[in-house]
Amino acid sequence: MSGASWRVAMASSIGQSHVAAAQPCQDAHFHLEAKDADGRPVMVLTAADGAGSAALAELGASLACETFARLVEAYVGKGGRVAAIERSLVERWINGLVYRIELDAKRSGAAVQDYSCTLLAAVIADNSAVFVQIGDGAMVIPAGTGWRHVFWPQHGEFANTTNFVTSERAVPEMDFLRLDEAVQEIAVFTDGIENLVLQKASRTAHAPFFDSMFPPVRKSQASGVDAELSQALDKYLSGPTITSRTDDDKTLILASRRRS
Amino acid sequence: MVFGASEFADNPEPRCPCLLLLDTSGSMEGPAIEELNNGLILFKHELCGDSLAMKRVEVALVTFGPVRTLVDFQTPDAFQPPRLEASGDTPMGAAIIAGLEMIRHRKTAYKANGISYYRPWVFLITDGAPTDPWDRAAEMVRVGEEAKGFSFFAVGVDQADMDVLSGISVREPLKLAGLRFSDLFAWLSSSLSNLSRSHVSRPPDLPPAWWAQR
Repeated sequence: MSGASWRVAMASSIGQSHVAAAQPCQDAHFHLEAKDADGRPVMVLTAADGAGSAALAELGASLACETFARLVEAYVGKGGRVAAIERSLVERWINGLVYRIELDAKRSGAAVQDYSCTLLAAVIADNSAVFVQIGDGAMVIPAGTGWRHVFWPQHGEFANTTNFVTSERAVPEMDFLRLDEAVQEIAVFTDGIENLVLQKASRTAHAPFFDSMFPPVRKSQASGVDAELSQALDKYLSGPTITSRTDDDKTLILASRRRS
Repeated sequence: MVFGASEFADNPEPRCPCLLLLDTSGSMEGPAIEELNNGLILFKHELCGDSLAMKRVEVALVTFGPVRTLVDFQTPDAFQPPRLEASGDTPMGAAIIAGLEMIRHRKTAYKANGISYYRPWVFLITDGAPTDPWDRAAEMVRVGEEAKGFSFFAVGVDQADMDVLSGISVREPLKLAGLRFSDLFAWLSSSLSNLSRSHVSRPPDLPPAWWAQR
């Protein structure tokens, strides 16, 4: 099935605690659309949350997002199929991404851990999709008339601990899932809004949030990223509804190929 | 408690548990116990001034001489600082063991109710030396710190045996300057406020311990 083209709204917004500590926004996100061998679109979405304790976290987050997306782009560009992506291939991509960070670290005399960040990635073709997660945050996709998370956020025992792409456990603990079905919509978000959109006790997605966020994206006339909608999303993430509940950086990507 | 979980349904915020282990042995009689009582009142007041800490910090209180659990974990709005009186000896070892057991129970309750939580803090304050065996307590503190199960802080007051405290606490024990309990509890409140709003991308800033003797 072909269906409508993807429309995307995405934003990363700085948290009040970062403003107060004169830290930059350490969240990053990236979007690209590649064409597969049949000329069909493959959408790649990535988001990352840089660790506040790491000196170059914001650089790590943006490097991780773009490098991962480019590795997928190169694979698809050479005729690779999303339906053929296996865990072992994604593990090589993660190793490649860490190598990219190592190069940058060597050049600037920094340690790899200075780039510590999480990674959320979705690669969506017509009838297959791959999801990858290292660390916290989550991705939510439609399930029947409701919503479901792809993976539960990777938190350690405590609320303020997680896994990073630069940690030793990154690859063994990486979450990987391939779905051979047509994924029509997806939300990708970092841990800044986790408590607002996931119900921790029942381990479910908070449906009213996603029900209310997607209609404007479905109605969008843009092709690919809707700049105006992204700006509105940024404003929403920086507004009092969200900031009264979290003082962390937060990223949200909403993508849909449904028509209203 | 059959209906004990409603506190989690009403308030699903992540919890930041803090256990106070307070020496109320006979030697605390006089200005020390007075200042400690005043400090506890201030502690509640300061925590209640921070809307996030009010939902996230949980205080529990165990006194020793003899070992008594005066307050089980509760948020600052519910916490009523008890009026402590000095008496008896210093069963510090038993108090630590009882306190760490409370932490273990609390974590189980958090997990059962899907509540996420921060690394618990244990705060021991004493003006003496244990009058009971304390090697098992010290071992439990060491193992717990090593497993990052909790953070254990020890504060000595006046004639406290700092060598024994060093034997119990993995972190270096601090000596309270004079009877500055109020400063100590103001610091504790502000540290817990910071801890309770820390996240992966923003670790807590702990203020310097201005109440400690240098």
